[in-house]
Amino acid sequence: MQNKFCGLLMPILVILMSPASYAKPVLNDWFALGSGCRARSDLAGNVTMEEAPAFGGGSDKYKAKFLFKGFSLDGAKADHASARFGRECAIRLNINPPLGKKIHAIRAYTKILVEKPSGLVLDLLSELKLGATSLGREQYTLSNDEKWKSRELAVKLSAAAGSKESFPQLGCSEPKIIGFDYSWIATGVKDKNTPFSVELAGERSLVIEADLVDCASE
Amino acid sequence: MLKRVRFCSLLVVTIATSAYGQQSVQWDVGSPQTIIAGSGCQKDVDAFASTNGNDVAVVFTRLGVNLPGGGSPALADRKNCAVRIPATIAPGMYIGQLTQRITYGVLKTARTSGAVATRSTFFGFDVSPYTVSVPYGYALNQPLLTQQRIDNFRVQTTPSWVQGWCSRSRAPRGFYQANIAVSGQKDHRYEDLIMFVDGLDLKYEVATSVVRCGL
Repeated sequence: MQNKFCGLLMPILVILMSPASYAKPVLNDWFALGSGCRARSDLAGNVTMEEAPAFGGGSDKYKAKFLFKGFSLDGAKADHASARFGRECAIRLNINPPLGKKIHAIRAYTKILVEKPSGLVLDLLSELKLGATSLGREQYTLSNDEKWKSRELAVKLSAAAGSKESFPQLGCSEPKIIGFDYSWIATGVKDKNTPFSVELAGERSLVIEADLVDCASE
Repeated sequence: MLKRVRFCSLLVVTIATSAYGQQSVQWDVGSPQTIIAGSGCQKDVDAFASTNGNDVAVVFTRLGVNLPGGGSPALADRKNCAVRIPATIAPGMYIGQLTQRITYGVLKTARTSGAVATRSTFFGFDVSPYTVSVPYGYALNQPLLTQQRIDNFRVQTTPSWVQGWCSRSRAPRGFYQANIAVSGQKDHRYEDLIMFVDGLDLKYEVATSVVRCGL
């Protein structure tokens, strides 16, 4: 009788405890919005997201790749009434660690391609966020006298629990919003024919990776 | 037998508690009660919102004041956006802290001034008004600024407060409501006041922190 009871109940409990029983994918809803992009997981636009399968031995690493079409800061499209103009794109991606797991680290990789004559200043800022916390910023300021011909800038931002003060204290299975912001600003645009451009290099992507760990391990 | 039932019950309770622990605030951004509207925003058109766990993120692409020198004769402008998102807090929890973070930019000459202000309530509790002022008297050229503010909620011990928040069977339901306004004025039409720079957006992040009753 006793064996029968637990024999029936235990498989149900095991199914309930498995992460798969909480159907929510680890990386799910997202949006991309800004003066240079507009798309959402349920709304087609100039950004798409490819979720790579979980990678790494313990399957505790997750990866999302955002592909951008037509996101650029283009001198030919500048509003010449103003000496400064910019293009931005803010990505927000929901992450839902399964039961018994928590977020341990977040990384983001992207490459920027710059074409710039002398006579204007470019500020290129990238910021990685987790909720309302900034995990890191990288800013390149290309000065007035610098000339760049199809040069690439690699941006790598990362933060992990315990290694950086800014990484927030997270609860077990606590869902969060990962954010990545691009801000590209040109200053001193005087001539309508000044050819300059900033766009994403290569396959025009942003890769966001998240490592999860067992809650008991930290 | 009894021991096994107790063990199994304990397991079920643990699973249920963990499920609540996963998400102590449940936002419903897809609800028809959600509002993002105003003279500087329109939900799903130029403002997108996302919620997950205790976080809210809103990006606005048109919430700003643009009064470039030599442009229109207008000397002042104001844009606003009202945000209302329904939320449910897990039973036995109450709000402890609210963090607001605004990312914005300002380009201005000396004889101009401007402000970004938020006035918000969470479940009917006033969050003290949050104003970022850009005062008159000096030029500013900062396209990428960030301001963060943390408000702590005062815990009350009156019976009605405890019943309202700390019932183990009832999940408190309410709204996060914020009115965000951007305003600016200048002395002369040839002064520059741009909040925000052409092509730059306003990003608003909110994080809530809940506390278990009795702790």
